[in-house]
Formats: sequence, C-alpha cells, structure tokens
Amino acid sequence: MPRPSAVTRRSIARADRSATRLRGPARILVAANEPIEKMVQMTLDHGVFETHVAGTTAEAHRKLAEVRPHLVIVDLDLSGENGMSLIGLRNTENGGGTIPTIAMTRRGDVWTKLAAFEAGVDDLITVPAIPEELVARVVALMRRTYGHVVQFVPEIKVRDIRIDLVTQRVRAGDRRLELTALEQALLYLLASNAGRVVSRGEILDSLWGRDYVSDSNVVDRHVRNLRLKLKDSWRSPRYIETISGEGYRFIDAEAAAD
Amino acid sequence: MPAKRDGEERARVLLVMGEILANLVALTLRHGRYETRATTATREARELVRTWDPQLAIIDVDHHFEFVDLLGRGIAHGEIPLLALTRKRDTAVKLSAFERGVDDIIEVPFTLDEIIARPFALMRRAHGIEVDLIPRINLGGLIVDVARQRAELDGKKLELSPIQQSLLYVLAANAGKTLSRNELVANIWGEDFGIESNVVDRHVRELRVKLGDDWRAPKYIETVARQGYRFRALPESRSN
Repeated sequence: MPRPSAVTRRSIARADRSATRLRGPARILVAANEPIEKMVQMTLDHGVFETHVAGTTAEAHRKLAEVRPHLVIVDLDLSGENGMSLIGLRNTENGGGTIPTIAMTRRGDVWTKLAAFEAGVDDLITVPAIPEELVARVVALMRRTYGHVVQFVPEIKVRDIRIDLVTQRVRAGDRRLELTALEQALLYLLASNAGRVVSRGEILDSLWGRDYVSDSNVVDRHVRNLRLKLKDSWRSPRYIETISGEGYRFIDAEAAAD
Repeated sequence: MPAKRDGEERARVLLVMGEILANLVALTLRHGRYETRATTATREARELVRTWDPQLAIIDVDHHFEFVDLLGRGIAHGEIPLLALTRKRDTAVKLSAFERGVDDIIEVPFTLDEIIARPFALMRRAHGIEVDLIPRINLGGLIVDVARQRAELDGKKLELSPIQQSLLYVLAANAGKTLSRNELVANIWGEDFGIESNVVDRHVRELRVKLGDDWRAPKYIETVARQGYRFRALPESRSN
C-alpha cells in the first residue's frame, strides 16, 4: 500500500485545461530506488502528471503495459539491475514510436552518460537531481515529443513549508528562507520520504552519488544548515529528526499540521 | 565507439560566453575531436557562421541570450544545434529557453562530463556524427582522465572529486592568467549557489595536496597575493 505523500496536491484539479493533445494528465513511470523514487514523485507535483513508480527494472517492465506511460524516468543505478533495458521501448501512445526516456546518472560518469545516449535516451539528469532541473527537463521533453504543454505548478506545500520553483522562494510559516540548490534537494528528499528514516548512505547516494564521498560529514553539515534555516531544533524538532545510528526522518505530521 | 580515422575533420563548435568559461569549455572539448572558436560579438558570430560553418553552438544564455535568435533557433528549425549554459535555478527561464529553440541545457555548476556527453548527443542527434572521444589529455605534464576522474602525475595516480577536477580544468584552461576567487566561484558554481570564497581556498588546498604541489614553490598552482590563483604550466595541445 503506498503511503499518501505529505504534499498537498491542490492543483491537480486544474489538469483538464492543459491537456490539449493528451486525454488527461501525462502518465510518467519512474523506475528508481525508494528514496529517489519518492523524491522524483514529489518533484513531479510541480506539473500536472499521473506518476507511477517501480522499484526494480522487472517491476517497471510489468507496469509498462498497465500504465502505458507517456514518459519514463529511469535511474540507471537501479540496484543490481540493467536500467538501460528501459530505454527506447515502443509504445502506442507515441504513434508507435519509442517512449521518451530520461535517465538519471551519477555525476562525473561520462561512460554511462554516453552509453545512455547511444541506447537512445532523450535526456539525462545528473544526480543530485535538483528539483527545478528535473521539472524543466520533463516539461521540455513532453513538449518536444507530443507538443503537449504540461500545466506547471510553481508552488508546492510540504506541511507549512511552501516552495516556489520559479521564484526559488521558500516560506516556512511566515518566514522567508533562502535555500541553496542542494539544501532544496535535501528538503525534497527527506519530505518526500516523510515518516521513513533515510540513512546517511541513502542521502549521499541520492544527492551526491556513490563516488562522490570526499567527506563523510557532508550529509550532517547540510542537514544542520537546512535545520538552521528552518529554525528547527535538533532537540525538539518540528521537521527533521535525527535517528541515532540510522539517519534522518522528516516528521510526518500532515494531519496535525493542516 | 567507432575507431578514429586520422585526418578526419574535427567537429566545429562555436562558444558564446566570457573568456574564462570559454577557455574551460574549449579545454574540456579537447576530450573529443572538436575545434572551437569563441566570441561574444554579434558581428563576429555572423561572420563565423558564414565562413566557418559551426556544427554546434554553446551559449551562456545568462549573458548572451540574444544569440539564440541570432544563430537560428536550433534543431527543430533545421539550424545549428544550440546548447545553453545557465546558472539560474529558474524553471521559467529554462522553459522559455527550450521554447525559443535551445536544444539542451547544461546547468552551472556542471561536472566536466556534461560538457562531453551533451555535445556528443547533440552532434549525433543533429548531424548523425559520432564524435571520437579522447579520455586522457595532457595538461603541462599532468595526464588527466576525465572518464575515470583521475589524474596521473609522474606515474602516480590521483583520484579527483568532480569539483577538484573542474577547478583543475578552469585553472589550467586559463594558464598564465590570475583568476580571482570570485571568478572561480562564478565559473565553477555560479553566483546563485551560495558558495563563499573561502570554499575556493579549501578546494585549492585539497587539490594542491593531491597534486603534491607546495604552495611555497608551486609547480602548478600559484597563489597571487590578494588577487587569486594562477596555473603555471601551459596546457599542451596534443593528447597523451
């Protein structure tokens, strides 16, 4: 059973206006490991999409027939599996053409990027996937492939935190915050996995990539900065809890906050 | 990847961006069989389009957006493929760039492999040309391998983080020229990224340690008091 996201999907109701060529919102299949999968899903709330997720390549292949996605986002580091097999699949939704695919890769990994382009991927997103970049590339690819203008939702809300991707304004209650791109990505990662402990290793893997561990304190340092900006005390946190020996957890208090 | 044939033409890439960034991109493109020209003057750009016939243009759209129109609005219009560089974290700006004909975007801060992979993909998409790659190049005696994120100095292998690699390239690409901390921040991270200039010092220090470079008698990276940093050795133009 998927747990409901902590994000308010208040703009989904506007979907129909934008669907000039597609009937209903564009369907996107996201194949990625869990913390990234949830983060991508939450980020896609900035557009009017119907998002489906798969945690393994096999599951993604199974879901293709059922979901008939207009676009596939695949993390090529999907654990232990060949995500490349999801690139360039044929689908009836694109007049028998291939399903447009965006691959997620780690930074610095030039061979994987080139191999993905050779396999026919339409675009690449490098981890750390900055939310704003992900949205821009998905919207642009939908436009390029289908001529479909995705209804764009600048602001999403995570409890009382409002994040506007166009102005890059973040407000918590009535305070304005300036977040760096990485802090914003970290906030999306934790908030989209609200209620679940995300380990330091998962955070590193999702935001920096496995090979980038030049400094193991980097996660703690970024969490500390984000907490400072959210005015979140580590002793009695409202948003981000430290789970000792395990990692961090975004407090899932949607019901209480609304 | 297809075997390299000698004497084969190099792919022509026009760079529309400031000098420091253009040098960095040109150096990075030496990892493929490319030749580059850089300009930010409209008249010169028009002249180059006429006489030199570039096959790809990379444009810093934060400062030179007008070149998107000037160069013909991208692949969809049957024109030169356009690759945009931007430091802005603004979806609206990016969407309007795509709308105006930009074919792909590289976000600053970028890792060097982006400067290799995205032009490769555009050359393939627009012209059906697979540009041969040259993973290892020689920067004044320092062999750098962009694919394995590694450098080799006197037979000793050094592992570089992506930022260290970008820092090394931007300094080496502008060898002989002093780059201020602000210029380094602007060209590696972009001003929007909230990087303070002492972060530059930390990364330079770490890079020097890896290069075995002594700040008192540097072989590669000199500190220019109150001004910034300067790469000493001149990058060599041949690979290996």
